[in-house]
Amino acid sequence: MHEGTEVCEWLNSIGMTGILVKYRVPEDGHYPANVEDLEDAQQAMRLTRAHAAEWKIDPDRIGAIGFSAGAHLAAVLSVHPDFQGKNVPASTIDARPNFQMILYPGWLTGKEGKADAPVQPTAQTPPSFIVQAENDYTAHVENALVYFQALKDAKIPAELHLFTLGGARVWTSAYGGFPSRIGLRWLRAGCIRFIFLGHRARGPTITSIRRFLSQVGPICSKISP
Amino acid sequence: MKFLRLFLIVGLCGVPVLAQQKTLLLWPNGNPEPSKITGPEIDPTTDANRMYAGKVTTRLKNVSQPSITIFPADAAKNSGAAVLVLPGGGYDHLTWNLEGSEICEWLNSIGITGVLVKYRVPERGKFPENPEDMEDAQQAIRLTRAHAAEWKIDPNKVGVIGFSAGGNLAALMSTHPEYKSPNVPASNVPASTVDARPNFQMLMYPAGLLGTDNKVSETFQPTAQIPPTFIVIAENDHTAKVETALVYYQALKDAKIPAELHIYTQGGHGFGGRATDLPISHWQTIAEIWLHTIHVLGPPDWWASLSP
Repeated sequence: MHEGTEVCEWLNSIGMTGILVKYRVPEDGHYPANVEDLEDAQQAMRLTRAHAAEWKIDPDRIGAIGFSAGAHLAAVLSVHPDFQGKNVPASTIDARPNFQMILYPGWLTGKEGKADAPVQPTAQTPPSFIVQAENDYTAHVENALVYFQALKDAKIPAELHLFTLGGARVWTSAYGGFPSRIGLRWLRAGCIRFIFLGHRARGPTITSIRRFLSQVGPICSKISP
Repeated sequence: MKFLRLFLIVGLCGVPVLAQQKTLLLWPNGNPEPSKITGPEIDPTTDANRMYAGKVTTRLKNVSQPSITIFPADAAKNSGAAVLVLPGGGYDHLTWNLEGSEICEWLNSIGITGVLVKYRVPERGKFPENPEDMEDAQQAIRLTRAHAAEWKIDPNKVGVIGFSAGGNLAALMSTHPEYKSPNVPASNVPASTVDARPNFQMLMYPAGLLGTDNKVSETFQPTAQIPPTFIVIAENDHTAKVETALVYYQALKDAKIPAELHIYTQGGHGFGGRATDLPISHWQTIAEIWLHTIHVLGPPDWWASLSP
């Protein structure tokens, strides 16, 4: 919910159409070991572009926002929009997102502090916006750092926000005394709430995302030949 | 008539605020080292760099009389926190309003006392060979803490914000708060027993933190002493370079220092705090929230609406 429908509602509030993707889970290994996730993401993007006129959207301004595993899937889609699934009929509809927002991503780090090969950015990768919390012990902050550096090396315009969020210890002692057992879970939920729901008018991330979105157009035009 | 009234209101509000500012020489009995600066203090601004974001930028060069200027927070919203402001300028000059007085005014607007530090430039040689910049920074924070009661600030909520070379100096004082310059006499006031460690640091497009191997240089290697840190830089900063922030952030994380890093696509180097059409010019919004999360500022009223 807080990584899906509520995000769509937020997108609506800033005049964007949200497309909530229900992709197949649990997954038996992720791309490239198992291509079901990428197939679903590609199909979702193509269905959206195919319906652009009907849904009154611009087919050249369709982005992707993903959370945790969803962020990994967004990053995979950005690098492999032309992947051809064996059991999927060929399509001429572009599956590449025009921008991507990567929220506390997982599985982006490969060997030796480099981005993992399946998400290694190419010149195809669109402008990217990354948010991560330093005290995220599930999807470590290094995912965001390594991926940002890889984007920069590939000359993809990117924005990176690594929030401290106070840390579990500080929050539990000072604001409400939440048991540390649920502290982490609360922080993750709290982080999301903070980002997408808690304070729409002043939340730093919401402001950042909004401003990022307002810049995507100009950035795209700047990097086009 | 309406305009005249507005003018009078603005005038009446403006005058007392300005009157509260006061400047203290860092070394009223003379600098620790004989001054090597021969010319008078000047503004080296040229036609080429005078205007930025629709405003005139002022700079200071040949600074031989280092000082602090206090911008006290309005009593009605004083949080008790204070921030030393270290302007940049490549240790050649000080970018005085863009990265100095205007930042103090922003701090005032969120209930924080600004302490604008005029440190000696141009610098001749780097720390530790030349300790002048570090001496000035340490003396500035000690004077601030020594005046805490008088200036109505909490000596445990004294942070630092530095821009470019000023960010370098901020990180330097955070890394070596126990440093004792051989040139500062034992009789100096305030005494070296007054803590010189900032309680938090904000590094704006900091310069010169890395060595030749793209690692944090020995001088800036984070220790457990480093306070919570907030970093802002643009991806297209070709002066300070985004890698400086990435590598320093990772080093802070390895040293278990709570840190926050904000990298924007565009902004270049030396944007200060002025409003432009770029997202980066809204860094103060995020900085203010960060100051809440590290408890320098109290919980904002809207936090109550965040249920766990």
